[in-house]
Amino acid sequence: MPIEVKKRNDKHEEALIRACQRHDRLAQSEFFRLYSGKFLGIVYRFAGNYDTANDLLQEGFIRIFNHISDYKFQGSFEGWMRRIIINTSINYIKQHGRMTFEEIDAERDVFISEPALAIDKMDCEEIIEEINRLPNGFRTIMNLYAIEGYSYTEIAEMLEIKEVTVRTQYLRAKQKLAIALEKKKIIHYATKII
Amino acid sequence: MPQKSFEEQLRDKTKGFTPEPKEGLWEGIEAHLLPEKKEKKRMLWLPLIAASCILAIGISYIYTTSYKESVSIAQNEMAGDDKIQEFKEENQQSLLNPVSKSLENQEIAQAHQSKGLLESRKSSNTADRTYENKDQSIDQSNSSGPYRLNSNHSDHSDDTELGLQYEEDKTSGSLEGIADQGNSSNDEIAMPTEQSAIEVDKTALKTIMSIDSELIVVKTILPPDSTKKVAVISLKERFKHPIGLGSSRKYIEAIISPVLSGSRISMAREFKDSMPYKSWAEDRKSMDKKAWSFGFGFMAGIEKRRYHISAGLYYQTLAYQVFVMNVDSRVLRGIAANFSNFDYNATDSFAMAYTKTAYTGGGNVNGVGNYVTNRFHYLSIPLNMAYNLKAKGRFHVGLSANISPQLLLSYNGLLYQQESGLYVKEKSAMENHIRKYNLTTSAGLELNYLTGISSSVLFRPQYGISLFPAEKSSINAGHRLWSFSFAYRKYF
Repeated sequence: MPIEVKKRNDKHEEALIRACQRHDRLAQSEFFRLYSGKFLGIVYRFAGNYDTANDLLQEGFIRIFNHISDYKFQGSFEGWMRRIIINTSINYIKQHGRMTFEEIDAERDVFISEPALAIDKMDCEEIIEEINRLPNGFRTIMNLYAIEGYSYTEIAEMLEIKEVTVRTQYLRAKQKLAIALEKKKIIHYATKII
Repeated sequence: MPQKSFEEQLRDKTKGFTPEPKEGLWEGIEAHLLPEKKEKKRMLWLPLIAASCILAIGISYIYTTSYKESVSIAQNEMAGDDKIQEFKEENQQSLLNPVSKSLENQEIAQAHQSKGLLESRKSSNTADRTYENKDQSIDQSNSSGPYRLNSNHSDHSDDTELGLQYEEDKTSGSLEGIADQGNSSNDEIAMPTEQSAIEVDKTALKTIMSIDSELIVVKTILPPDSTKKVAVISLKERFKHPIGLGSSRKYIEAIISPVLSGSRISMAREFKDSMPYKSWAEDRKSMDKKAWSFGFGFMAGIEKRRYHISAGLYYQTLAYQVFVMNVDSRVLRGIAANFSNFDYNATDSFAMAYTKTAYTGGGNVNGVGNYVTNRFHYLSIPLNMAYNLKAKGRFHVGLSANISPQLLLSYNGLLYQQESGLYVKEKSAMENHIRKYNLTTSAGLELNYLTGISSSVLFRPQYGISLFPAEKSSINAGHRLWSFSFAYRKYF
């Protein structure tokens, strides 16, 4: 995108944000319209079902709009909103005691040599469904690390667990996902290591 | 090309996952949101109020000064003795034959003199100068004696222009004749009848205004009870001569004025609480940008004591920039780089940036946005008033206020239609939606540097607003302006 256009778009977004900071309903609804789909996709990956995801999305947007004055135009506004949405999702999972981590059957542990090749051949929805089938703990870490791009340290702070736990749980989540894909015969080249 | 990692591919794949939220979710959110903040009212009317105040103070000051001086003059001339009262009664019956009463009038005049009421404060030099200018004369045969008013008949046309009418003596054809027929000597005063005296008061007032606070004529000829009438006359005259008593200087000035003007968004009352309209207006406020314009013209005015008042003819452009998106596939060629040169026709329309998604379903925006300057060309008749606060050497600092009726000459921008949220370039739409007349007011400082006895240069930084939005549609864009006028003034 040319720099000039980006500047204008940024200015447009800034105008919208300022309108939202005045709690302008139309500007808020515009933001909702622009980001609700994207954010519903996020909370759905954390919640695992659409009913809960819609509730979380609602709660997340209420937090965004009621605290938008805290945004000081430093850093990406979408990133700021995204963080709120994710925190809302994590809080929900914590509050409902659903942060459980499953041990993986050692005999079924797999080493996925080229998981990206498998992912590449799948539809977006298929991948999301497979992630949603993971246990809550795995799913949360998979979402935070692989998709949202948080570091192990950040995830450990967010989930209030040890960093090493995050690291091992992620690897196991990845393996579990590979097994799930193998079950679906999507990864035919997954190599059994045991 | 290096292969993406599992995480990168997962991220890319899930990026496009945007399911639709359930129906009514926004309503649920809206119910929990904080109420809208009321917008702080901007001080748009401040310049108008300031201008009004300056004008009101100026007019009231002039009026008050005029009234007080007139009353003072008249009161000083009032006498309580019987002869003056008798003068009134007798002269009431002598309106048709003022000449026959001239001898009696002479007595009254002597009575005035004996009471010390007919004193002179006039220096002969000033009188000579003034009467030379006004084609009138005051003869002073005795330095301590009264004056006689001689009015040259040939000057009546000038007086008539000023709303003054003489009670002419058919015999002599002039007020001078009143005195001449009754008195051969110049050291006696001609006392006109009450009617004619009042008329002469007008002449006197005119003379006063002309000769800079020299009150000699009025002091000589005012009848005893003319206080109120003189005041009234004075008031009338004051409106004809709104510069006040005292010396005055006329001037003309040439002005050139860079103007930084911007959009001022306002809405019709019925749309004030309508959310979409309000939001559009808010958005235009944030998206519209200021633009430089200019103006030039000539003014003619009068300087009187601390006051200046002037009027003239002025050409001015006012402008602001609007940010629009090209949304119509038919006008795809109007890409951003060439937008300002784009040859749009009557059907072209452009969405303002904020509404680009709202009006295109979020996906049909073609091209990119660009700023387009909307420029209005006006012919103005400005009325300017200034008050000098302080003078230091050649440098004067004052306040000035300006109000300008404006006639729109042409308009070369895009017109915003609030119904569609689009900008259009359509001649008929412009004719219907652009205001032909406007009124702009501004107020600010006036810095005056006297470059010589008869010239000065001025700088007037002013802030102003257009009282009526240029666009008549429900969401309107008008102007707020910062003008920085430079003027060269020539006194006469």
